[in-house]
Amino acid sequence: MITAANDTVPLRVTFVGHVDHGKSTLIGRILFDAGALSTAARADLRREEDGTIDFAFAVDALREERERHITIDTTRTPFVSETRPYEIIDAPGHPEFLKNMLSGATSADTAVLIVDASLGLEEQTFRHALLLRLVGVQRILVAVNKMDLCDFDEERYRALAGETEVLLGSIGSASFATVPISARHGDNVFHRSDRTPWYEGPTILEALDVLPVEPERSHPLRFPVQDVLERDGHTLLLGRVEGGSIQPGRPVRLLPRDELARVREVRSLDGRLDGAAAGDCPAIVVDAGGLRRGDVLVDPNHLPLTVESARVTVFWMRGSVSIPTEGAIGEARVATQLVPVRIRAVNRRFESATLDEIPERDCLAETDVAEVVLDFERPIVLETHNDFPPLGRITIESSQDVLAAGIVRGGEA
Amino acid sequence: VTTDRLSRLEAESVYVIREARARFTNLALLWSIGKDSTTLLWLCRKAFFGEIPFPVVHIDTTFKFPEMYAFRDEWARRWNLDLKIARNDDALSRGVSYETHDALTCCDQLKTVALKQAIAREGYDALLVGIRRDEHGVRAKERFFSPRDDAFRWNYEDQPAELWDHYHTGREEGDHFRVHPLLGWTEIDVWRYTQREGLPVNELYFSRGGLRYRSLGCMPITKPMPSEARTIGAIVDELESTDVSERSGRAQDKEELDTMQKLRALGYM
Repeated sequence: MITAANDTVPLRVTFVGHVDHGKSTLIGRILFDAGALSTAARADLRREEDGTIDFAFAVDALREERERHITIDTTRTPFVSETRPYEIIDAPGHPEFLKNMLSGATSADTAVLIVDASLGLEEQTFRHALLLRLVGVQRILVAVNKMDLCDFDEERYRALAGETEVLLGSIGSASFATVPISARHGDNVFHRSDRTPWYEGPTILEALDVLPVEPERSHPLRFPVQDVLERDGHTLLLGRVEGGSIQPGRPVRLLPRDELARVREVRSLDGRLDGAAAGDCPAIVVDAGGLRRGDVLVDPNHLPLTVESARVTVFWMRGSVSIPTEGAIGEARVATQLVPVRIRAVNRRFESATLDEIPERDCLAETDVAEVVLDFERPIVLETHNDFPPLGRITIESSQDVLAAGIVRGGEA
Repeated sequence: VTTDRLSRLEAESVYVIREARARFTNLALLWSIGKDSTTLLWLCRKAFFGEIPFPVVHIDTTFKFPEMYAFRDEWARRWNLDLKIARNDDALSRGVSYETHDALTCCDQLKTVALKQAIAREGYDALLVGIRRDEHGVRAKERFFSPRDDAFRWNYEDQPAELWDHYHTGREEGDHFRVHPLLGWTEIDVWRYTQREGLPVNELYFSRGGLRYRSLGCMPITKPMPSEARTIGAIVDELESTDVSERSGRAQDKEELDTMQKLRALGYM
């Protein structure tokens, strides 16, 4: 059912955890209980032999997913609760689909980490928790699922909730709620269960409904130039204001060339000319020439870093590579900048499925998480992820593939 | 900072549209004349302040509603579009039509093959397409930037990673990209935005004699639904209380459970 809350910004929630712990089933259950499935989608749900419904069919729409009973790719489904709109992002739990899990996680502001009550923490529980931390998803709800398979045993729940909290704490994360559920039967998902009388906390939906949509942090002006358009004798700099605001007449510093300029004109999409703020996609005219995609207009009094080397924590996604790399391995992307990059050194290296440190630092293998030192072919504008995520997110891509994703820790000599 | 949903969606789409124009050398917009791609077209006009700096392609099966052709020609003129019409004349001269062939064959020949011909002729390396995730379960799996090989296949089992808004545009020789700026919009968002922006609306979407079209396709396989909605406001009210899916009037989707997936794997939009 769609309500008036539909005109506000949705909360984007990704569902992660080990394969078969019940991610797709929980999402299907939420959509079903919310009345968000169409008649056709409801008819499409498969009934199991014991009469219960296979809710995973609501999101696993690919033929291969249904035949193999797995989620291959991330699915994004909108739905509206009584208080707010959501975008629900399913994530595959199989290790070979980690890039799809990450694609979902990088578009979320909140995560539900699902743990199977009978199986406990497994490989992808660790790995997904670490990857959430790596891409900056800080709000995590832990759902201890399949409580029906352990007779809604309070002790089992307490033990697993504790173990999960220890895991999250060890990587610098924490949960804001832990809920004992059965996605298949609907306990504590939308409706409070009478089979967990010992549990007094919120249901999944109650816990999510009260979360604020992440507030935008105030930050000095950051406007990465996305494209340049010649129009009516003016050079329009197209882009999105990532931080702060921009008005006609204000001074800006142009990076990485390090030059001062003044804003002549700000044209908003709706025709306003008085300025633009974070999130807006205006066109800017400045009194300087020769600008191009990748240049960044910033507040002259609050500069980001302009560096040729940086310390970065990355998740390595494709094949293995020896370190240092021979020359550039691809291009590093930060905001709209693309700069050829080499990996100079590995400072620390971890096995993402176990969180164990790997002593060998002369290579990176697929699914490793590592702190590395990058050398850029020319100066690049960035900030630490802690200071400002839009300029602290980095990907490394070859012409064919995304090789790595991570966050900036700091500049490096 | 704006927290209004439509402005956020607009900004997201404009960012994606500009990214496509910046990263590709021969971009085009696919305009089906329906509400979604008309919204996309409007967003392209706004992204580049009135003039769209790339061609607008209509894949003409010749089986569209007369009201759609009239709408196309009027607004192509008023918006000064570089309109290209792509038609599979070879198939049409062989007599491919809904009277003699099944819907899957017609879609493949008159849409997919017509588009392949246009790509071969014009050398497009990327196409802006107005699909939305909420249209269909399989579409919910789409990326904003989605590569297709030279046979138009969508490799949905091994899509490239799409991290934050760092859209990857690397491709093999012969591949092209589908770019989907409206992925995050719902059907109701499109109507609310159409109303907010004062966009023209094809009369087929409004109730006539107790029936209206919710989705526009080829005339022989597109059925109207019972409705009294004669304004955009009434359409929004109607959609807020229905649980029938949007494409239920499109016959090609119903022939088989996974027809949509087959069509998309073959390169159908």
